[in-house]
Amino acid sequence: MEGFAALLHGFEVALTLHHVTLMVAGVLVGILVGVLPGLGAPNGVALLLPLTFAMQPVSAIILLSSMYWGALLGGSTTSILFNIPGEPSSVATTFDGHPMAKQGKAAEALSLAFLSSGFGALAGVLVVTFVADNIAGFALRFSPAEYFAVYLLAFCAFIGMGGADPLKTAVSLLLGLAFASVGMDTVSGEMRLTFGQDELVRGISFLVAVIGLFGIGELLATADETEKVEGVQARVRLASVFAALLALPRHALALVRSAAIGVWMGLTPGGPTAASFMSYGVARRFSRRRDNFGRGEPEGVVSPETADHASGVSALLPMLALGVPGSATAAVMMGGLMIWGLQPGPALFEDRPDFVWGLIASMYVANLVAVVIVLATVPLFASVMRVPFALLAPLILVICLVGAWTIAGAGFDMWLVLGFGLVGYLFKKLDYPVAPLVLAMVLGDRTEDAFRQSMLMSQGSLGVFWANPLVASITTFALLLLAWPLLARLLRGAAPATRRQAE
Amino acid sequence: MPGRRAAEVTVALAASGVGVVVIIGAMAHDVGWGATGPGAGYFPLRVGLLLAAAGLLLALRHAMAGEAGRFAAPGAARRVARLFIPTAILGIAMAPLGAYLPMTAYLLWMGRREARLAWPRALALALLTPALFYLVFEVWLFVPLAKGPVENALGLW
Repeated sequence: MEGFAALLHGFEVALTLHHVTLMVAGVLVGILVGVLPGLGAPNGVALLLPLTFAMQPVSAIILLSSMYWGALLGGSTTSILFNIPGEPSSVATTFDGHPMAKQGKAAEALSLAFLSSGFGALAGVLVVTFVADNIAGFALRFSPAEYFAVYLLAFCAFIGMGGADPLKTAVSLLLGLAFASVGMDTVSGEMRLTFGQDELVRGISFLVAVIGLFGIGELLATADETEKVEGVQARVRLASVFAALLALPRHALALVRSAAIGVWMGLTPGGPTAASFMSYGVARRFSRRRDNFGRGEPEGVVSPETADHASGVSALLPMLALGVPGSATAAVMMGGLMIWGLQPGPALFEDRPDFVWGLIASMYVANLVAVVIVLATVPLFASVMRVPFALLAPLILVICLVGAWTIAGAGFDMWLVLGFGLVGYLFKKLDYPVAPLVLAMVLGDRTEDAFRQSMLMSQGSLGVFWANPLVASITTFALLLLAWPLLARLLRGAAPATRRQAE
Repeated sequence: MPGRRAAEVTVALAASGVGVVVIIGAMAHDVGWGATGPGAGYFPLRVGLLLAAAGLLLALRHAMAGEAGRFAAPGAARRVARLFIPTAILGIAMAPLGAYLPMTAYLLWMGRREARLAWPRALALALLTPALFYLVFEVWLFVPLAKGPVENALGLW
């Protein structure tokens, strides 16, 4: 029952007036960020992060995580009303959410989406509460070799299971690792990859990269597409919320299944985007009403939304306990943790229980607050989408540029953020995934340190990554995931061949 | 307008080129075993090699594949340039000229040229937005924005 006492203490931290105010503010900013094009959750957190440097770490993480929950909900709103996913993880919500809205069931679709999001978040945070201590305790046994294996697993999972072209994912990841190594080497103090440029001595800030790739790049990609925004007017009345609440038990199976998928994808570094697509796919395959999918089937809204939130919430646990973020947003938050002077990892649970349990308790409260607020404010935020893009884009770009300036007050960062913006645009156009680049930039130094310490322990033998059953199984699993795209092709190629032989 | 295949090959080759730059940078350091284990260049060298190889492979694969259609719809490049070029000028001007003057000019330009606002509305946008930024960042949050000769002359902090 140690965990329960810790959670109660966490609620004492989370339920102060100051923190509840921060939650409300975070959720409101988050919904706005989720609704606006070019301002997704990772970018929003990156923009807000420099403003939290002077705050208490607990307050800062409560503000940023609340913003994340708000952004996830805001992303679903635009998916349903405008057929424009505000977040990559709400793409799957457009498939049935927007058809429902066009059939005049916008309020029902929104209420269902928000309530199932709330269910998913609750499932995620319950799992986090129960397994947090176990995972942290488990991770205490980790040596540098295990850490390197876990980072390798995170990278390989993106390549093998990310859904994008494996080679393009690899390029994105390796670029991130290369950018991470610019600046002073943490072990020898040598200046690496600076080519004599003083501006590069500080290294390349991952925040600048996130603002450029996700913010500026996203807006340029939006300007590239001509499609007119055609929205559906919606006002969510209390009656439709209750109707949706009463309808939820009918989707009990979909809810539980999607929450399980979401939690799993959040704990392993699959991320909310993969989780929502997988959940939608599974639902379409096994639902009794599968023929109705894509034409406004409520279960097609419930499934991706539940998984999206379950994984968004549970992605914070590996970030805290292992230092391996399960999503791009969690990666940005982890970077924030390190800037606030906290080291993510199992020691955090022993040294700063107020921080860890304050955050976990705030996840219960903030998600509840978020669902209530979003239900009440949907018409208000949806009206933001009616502002013409030609007006909205310059304003968001000014916010991005000013945000990049506030990170370090460096003129060179402005060149970098514009460069990353162009890269983000090209990546988006050519279907390169951006999240692996950010993950690699945040994890790069830790990965290299873990690798170098392991090699030092083993006197240069790679055998250290197979030295005991634990590290051996993680490393092997990572390499299997890396090889998965090739293996899958071989298996698929072999299957028709054997069938032909049988005929 | 270049086709999608040309764009794919160019971006993949550029990534490969970054890999080569990383290799060259890493070679300036100890890429083998140093006094404290693997040297400073050990990890970057391997990252650079993998990146160069992955980029080259991607470029080859796209070069061998057939033409993949166009990179962007007609007119899209112009729309992107009309958004990006003023933004780039704003970004670059912020450090030497301060945040406020370029921001005003940028919003006035974008409001008039792109959003086609009438003069009063465009002026309101261009003058009130920087004022709001000043209040939020400098007064409320104590986060200084870029200052230039204009702010200096006005003694704005």
